[in-house]
Amino acid sequence: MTSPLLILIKKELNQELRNKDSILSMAVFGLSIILIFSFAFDMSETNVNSILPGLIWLTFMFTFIIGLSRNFTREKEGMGISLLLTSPIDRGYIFLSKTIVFTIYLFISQLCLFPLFYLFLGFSAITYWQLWALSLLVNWAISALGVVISGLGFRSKMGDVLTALLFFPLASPVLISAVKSTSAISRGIKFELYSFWCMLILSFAVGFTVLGMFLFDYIMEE
Amino acid sequence: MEFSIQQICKSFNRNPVLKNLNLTIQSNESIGIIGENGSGKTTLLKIISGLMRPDSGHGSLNNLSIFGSDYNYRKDICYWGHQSDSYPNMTVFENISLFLQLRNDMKTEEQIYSILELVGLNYSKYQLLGEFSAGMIQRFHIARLILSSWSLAIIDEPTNALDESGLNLLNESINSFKKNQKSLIISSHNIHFIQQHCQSIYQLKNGNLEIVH
Repeated sequence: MTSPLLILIKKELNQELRNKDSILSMAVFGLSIILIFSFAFDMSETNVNSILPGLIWLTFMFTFIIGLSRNFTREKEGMGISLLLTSPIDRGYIFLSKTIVFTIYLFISQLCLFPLFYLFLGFSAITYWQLWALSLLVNWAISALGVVISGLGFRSKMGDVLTALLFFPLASPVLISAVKSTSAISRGIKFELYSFWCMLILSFAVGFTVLGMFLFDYIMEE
Repeated sequence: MEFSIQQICKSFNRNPVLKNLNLTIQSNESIGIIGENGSGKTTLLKIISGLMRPDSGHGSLNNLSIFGSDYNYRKDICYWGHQSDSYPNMTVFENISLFLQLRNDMKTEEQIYSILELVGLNYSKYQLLGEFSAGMIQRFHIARLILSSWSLAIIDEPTNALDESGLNLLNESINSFKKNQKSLIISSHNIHFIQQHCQSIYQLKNGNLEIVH
């Protein structure tokens, strides 16, 4: 017997491989933002390095919201979500599968976009493994939070508005921590000095994962 | 198989749709639910299938609570709703495989193909479900019912969009389910169809179920 989690992850990845709509829209949006930033900031006059971590994580937050919105729209078309909800599986797996695939999608978009941040804005920290580890941690935190909030807005006619209204204020601590950690990594600061921010992100990731696992059953019902 | 719901209440925006509703179904029993548009038939079927939670009330299937945290009861229920309840960007074969995998109903590709042939979807097995007509989606639902193991099927408006051969297929499938001791809850506006297949017929009116046959 295959685990329901593996079946659901496979389903999500197969759908994405077929349509490529989530990752493609995330990557194209991210590329557009980087191009705009590269024209907006004069590299010779502005100290870009001090604002780059903020720009980077804002870009990823917006790209994430675009991908997430597309994924939940797909669940509404044909009401595929009803198939999942009427199946004899723990509904926490639905949450977990979406959180895992979005952590992966975000990482893929980062693999594409970080080199562009280096190319157009001179963000040189992409060679540090700590940045990639931090990215995975932040991806996990915002994916767990985003899937919970999108689930809350799924049945609502104002779902997209609700997602934006709830996601950005709740994701602020993760965003701030990610910016602080990225800034520290790019300046070569020791982990001990920015570990607090990483622990904050980890706490959010674990907290929202546990919350989603237990509450998704109630969140997704009509 | 024994299924029952007791004292089920459901309101939308303080407007009660179901009021202290009770229903019991035994093995090999088929019941029909009729009622005007907006009377709450689909709401009741969604509650029974686990898609919707009632405001209050109890329900059990084979002594397992259907409103609790134990999801195993859903293995015995198969829901056929108004929509495809599947993914339009996946093929009919992929959708059926996913449905069976999630229910842990292992079927070979040959078994799936033979049922698709039986329901007239053999030539469309690699077609995306999003390209299906409403009638083909109903045939897809029939294939899912035939392929999966369940003891209670909840069927909402099964005759919609079916042509004559589709209706014959549906009638034959339902007769076969009844022969195999399966229980059915069928909601339809097609009274003739309900009378043909159901031992008891209930009318949902003002939030209450009244037996009419």
